[in-house]
Amino acid sequence: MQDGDGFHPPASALFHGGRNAQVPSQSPPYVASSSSSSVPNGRRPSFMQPVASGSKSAANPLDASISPRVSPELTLAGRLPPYDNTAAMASLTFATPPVIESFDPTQSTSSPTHPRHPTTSDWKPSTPTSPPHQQLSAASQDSGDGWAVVTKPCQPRTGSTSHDRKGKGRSLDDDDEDMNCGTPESDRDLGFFSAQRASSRGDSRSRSRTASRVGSPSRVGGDVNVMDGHRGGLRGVDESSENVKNVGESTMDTETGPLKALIPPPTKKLCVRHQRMADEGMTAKLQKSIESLPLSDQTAVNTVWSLFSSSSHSRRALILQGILTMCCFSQLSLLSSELALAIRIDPFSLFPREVSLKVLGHLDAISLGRAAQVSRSWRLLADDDLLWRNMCEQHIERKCEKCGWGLPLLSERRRRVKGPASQFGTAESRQLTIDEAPRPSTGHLKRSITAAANAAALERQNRSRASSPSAAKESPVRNAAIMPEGKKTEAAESDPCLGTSADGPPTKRPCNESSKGRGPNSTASYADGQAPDSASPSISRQTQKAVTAPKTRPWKSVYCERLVIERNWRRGRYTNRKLEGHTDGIMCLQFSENLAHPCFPVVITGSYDRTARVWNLETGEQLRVLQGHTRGVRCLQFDEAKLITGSMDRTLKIWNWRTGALMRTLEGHTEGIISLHFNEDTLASGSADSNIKIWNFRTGECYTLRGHRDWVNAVTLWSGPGAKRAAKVKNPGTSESTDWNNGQLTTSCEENDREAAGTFLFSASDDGTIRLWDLGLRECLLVYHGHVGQVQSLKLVMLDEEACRNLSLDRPGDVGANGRAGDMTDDPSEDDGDNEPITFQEAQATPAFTAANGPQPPADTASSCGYNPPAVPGGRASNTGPPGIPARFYLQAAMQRNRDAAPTSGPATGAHGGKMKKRRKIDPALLRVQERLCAAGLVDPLPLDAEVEDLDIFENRGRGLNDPANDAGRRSTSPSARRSGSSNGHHPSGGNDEGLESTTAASSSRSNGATKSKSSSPHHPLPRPVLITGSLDNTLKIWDVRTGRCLKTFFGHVEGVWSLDVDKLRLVSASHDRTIKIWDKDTGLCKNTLVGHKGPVTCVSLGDDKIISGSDDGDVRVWSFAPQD
Amino acid sequence: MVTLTTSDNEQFTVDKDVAERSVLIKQMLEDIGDTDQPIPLPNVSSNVLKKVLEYCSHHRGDPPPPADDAEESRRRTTDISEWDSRFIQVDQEMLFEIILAANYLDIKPLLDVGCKTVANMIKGKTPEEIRKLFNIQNDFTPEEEAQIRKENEWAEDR
Repeated sequence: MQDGDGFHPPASALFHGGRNAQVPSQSPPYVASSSSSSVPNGRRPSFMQPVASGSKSAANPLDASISPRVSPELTLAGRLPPYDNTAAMASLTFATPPVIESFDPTQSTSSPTHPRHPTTSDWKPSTPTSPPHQQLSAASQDSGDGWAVVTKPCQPRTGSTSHDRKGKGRSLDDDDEDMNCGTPESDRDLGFFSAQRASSRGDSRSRSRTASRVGSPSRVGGDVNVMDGHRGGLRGVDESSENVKNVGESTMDTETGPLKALIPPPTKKLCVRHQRMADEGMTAKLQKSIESLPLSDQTAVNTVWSLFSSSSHSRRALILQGILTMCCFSQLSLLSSELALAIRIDPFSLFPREVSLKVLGHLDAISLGRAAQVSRSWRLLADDDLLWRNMCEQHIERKCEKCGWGLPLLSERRRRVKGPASQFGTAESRQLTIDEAPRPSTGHLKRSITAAANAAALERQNRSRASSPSAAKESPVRNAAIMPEGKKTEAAESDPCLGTSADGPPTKRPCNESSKGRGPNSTASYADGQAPDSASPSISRQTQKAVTAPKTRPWKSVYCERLVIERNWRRGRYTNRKLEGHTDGIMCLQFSENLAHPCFPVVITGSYDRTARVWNLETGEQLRVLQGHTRGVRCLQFDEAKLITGSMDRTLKIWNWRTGALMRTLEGHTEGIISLHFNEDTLASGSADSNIKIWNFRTGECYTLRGHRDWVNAVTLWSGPGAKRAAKVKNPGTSESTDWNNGQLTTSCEENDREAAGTFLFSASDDGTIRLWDLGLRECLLVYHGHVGQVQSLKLVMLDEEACRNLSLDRPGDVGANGRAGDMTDDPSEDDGDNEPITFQEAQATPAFTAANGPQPPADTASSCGYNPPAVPGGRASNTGPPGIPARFYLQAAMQRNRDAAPTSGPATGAHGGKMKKRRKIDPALLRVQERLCAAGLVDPLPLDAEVEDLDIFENRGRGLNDPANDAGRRSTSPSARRSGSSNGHHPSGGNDEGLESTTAASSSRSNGATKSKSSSPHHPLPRPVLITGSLDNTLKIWDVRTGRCLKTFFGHVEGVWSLDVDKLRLVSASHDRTIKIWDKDTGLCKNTLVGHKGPVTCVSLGDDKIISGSDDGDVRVWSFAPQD
Repeated sequence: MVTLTTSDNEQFTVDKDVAERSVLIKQMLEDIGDTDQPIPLPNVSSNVLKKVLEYCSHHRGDPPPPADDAEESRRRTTDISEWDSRFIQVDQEMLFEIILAANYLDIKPLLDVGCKTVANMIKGKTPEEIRKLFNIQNDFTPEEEAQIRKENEWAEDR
């Protein structure tokens, strides 16, 4: 029995390639017996000094001098009961080649100095060619320990060692049994040949495994000990594995007893190392080496190996320790170099797939790409579609939290795909897709991605919800949670590539849509046919199976395509072309890639040459010239249906831009129109007459917002879901307040325009201010002071809490710069000297009205920074250059202030180790802004007893500066807040309605939590609305919409900024200095500067893979970052 | 107290809350109720279990992982606490055994730490370096290799 676990085969097989009369499981004990019994204590000294005792000859274990006699010693060593360790070691000592030579156990075991000439021939006479089988087998059965295996080569010369051992074999065996019973072998074994050794108990599987790997003795456990299964050398054969297994099982049965019931059925689990041993070149090498030895040496080596392999775990350790002790440095270094390699294991060969994928899930894309090149099995794992889908979810249209990379969405028409895979999706995603199916509208891909992400999120949510109450074990691997569905689908669908991703479908694009096919023709022809858009979903819905499984691209390629573009962005690799045609400076442009018709991306530009022109962006061809304005066109906006232009001729014109027909002209302003913005039913126009007019498309009504004192250069409408609802309800009697949890204020306000309730407007003016207007109240809510030049452009974006904080935190230079915004709100650290609760009121000059009425904010405290720009009374401030104050100065100033402030706030210094701020009320004006925005569903509600800190990121920032540890602590104590924050970022929300909708939906659900956990976490994890503005003071500024604080100022342009655009990933600005700058909007670092325009750049628009800019020189330039074919 | 028996028949007696860091054991205990009988863990050997229990007892007081932890762990890769990173500094074989044991015993945080550690080993290495690191044979044919390299060209193009 037990041979299965014995190792022997390799060695013996090496030279007995054919039939071996092996003596399984027996020889070690019995061989050992003689020496064991005869090991005198007197040997110990020699153990202590191995070299001295024996010989000086080389200690090469494979030395020819090894004779079979060695094996008893080794075996003995291995088998000696623990108490006799020293003796065992002693024997080992003698086993070193030199000693061996001199040592004949059969004659005298007691003296290390025994004459050294016995030759192998000495053995012949004394040993039977093979041990009596019956006896051996009996012995082996007795031992029952599983280790007793053996390989005793049956060669005449070396055969079994000596007859006198037989007699004592028994007793030793008994010893073994005692010792081993309690310590079955573990699976884990790194010993060289350990695999052959099966674990003794309850582990039949390892036994069978082992056997199959190395080729174990063919018959085990029976009476027959003759092995005939060994023909394969080290690689062995596994004819006998079944037998071995059976034996193992039966043994186990008897041994495991009562516990057995509890033991789960053994899984397939190989010793970590030996799963692949047989494949390695090492075996071949060994084979070769050993073949080159004389027969006797072969036997000797084999014996050593065999004995080792047949030893139990602990004994092997013992043997190894002994050997190590004997090793000279040269052997040690051999060991060390071998070990360095041998200890390495391919983790994925061990792990179940889901664990491997979990590991890979922690990798970045580049590492994944490399991992795919390691080996076939790695490739299968690293190219896993689900893995890449997650990758896409993390990066596309958002900045990955891990790596800081974000990838463009690429919603170009040619890339769009009607997601056929949606049919397999969850109900939610299916719903979404079907809903949009009938209208082949814009942004499918975008929606699809969102849908996919949402679906995935929902799914996860549901899953966890479902599992949490029952305390069921959560799936240990996220992937695993998704897998089941994937598998289901896979089963249902014949196309395996759909499998894993089926539940979050539609981003995939048809394979046949070559990613490289950028040619306008191919694109046009494909995209022109609406078939892929409208037909496929309906068809596939009805006849899922009949329709050929939609071809989808692997997520990996989706990712890579975008990565290439992103790289180009990062490295500033672009191509540049010009659209020529305008005869005077260009003042405005817009482009769209997502139009249902025409199929190509369209740009429309407006110029001082009094025309607006429509261009095919694909070809650069000028499609149409819209003439009608009598003076320059300053602003325009178009959608699927119409184009509206605003001109210095004081009119707005509405066009059908496809036909060129002028539909209508709007008059009303008394000066030229500088800016316009429209949404579904409202048009806002800003004029050189300092007024803003709001035109209602539905009612035809028009009214004027007055407040600015100079040209209005930019207007942006901002409406939340509340606005839509109100508009739809169309019941002026009922306020929407019931829908919003703190609607009391809504009702308290007298609404001038209930239909417009929930709609807001930002405006930027030459007077240096930006204003926030409430169209429901038709009044100005807030004024943003800070720019010292004319504000030319503005964009609204949503940033999450973290981004805001970083923005205001990360660069010391900005402390001072931000401090300048103190004309709205003073730096708290300065005001802390008195412990009076202060409100913003004192520092602020009631934003809405006072400012509107004229008085400028007081020359602010930021003068301490040495940069105190002149106020901008008439809006025509001198164009101050960028401050020449080094960042260090700002920092020092800020620190100084903090240092000064700290001691004075003495009593308040408290538990947090930093300054504890007094609770401060929020200025009523800001509170009002907050409430209005909240009522419109645009921001999340504040807690009931809100303080300044709850609203103002700057307060938090200040705290973070003063006491980073505290800040970190607080962050870590509110994991839920963080999580929700980040998960919110998960929805790639555009700046469009959908985006707002999703954020607000999330906000309402989260607001409860926020209120509840207020004490522990004063943060609002929701994205904050922020405003980005560009001014002729050469700077860009980012503002917190709700507080009017400037969070960050971007310096870099050397002349005024005319225009800017922003997306999820970056910010571009166009300047009078003829350059376009690309900024990292999260850090404020300028990433790239595009030079080429010959005149001031007046307008700029940002796409996923391009920038389009218009210049005063009359050129439109397209800066393309797409890969060049 | 709970007694655990490893595959090599060693017994470990640990506090219940320590043992119950393992969802597997927790559920087992729930199923069979309190028992004096040792719980067999045939897939875990004693030296690995020793390590695992070291982890469990260090983290015995940890709050249960948040519900959508999967999401969380997906984003935050490399943040392994100091203790954990010291704990996981073992040779490959032990590391992988710990991961397998954590997977088997269903100790999610430990599995996470292990997986992150392995991921960190792989990160930033060339295919050849990875092969060396784990002693992996390159079993691609030259043609395959060329093609795969082409497919993954973007990974080299920094």
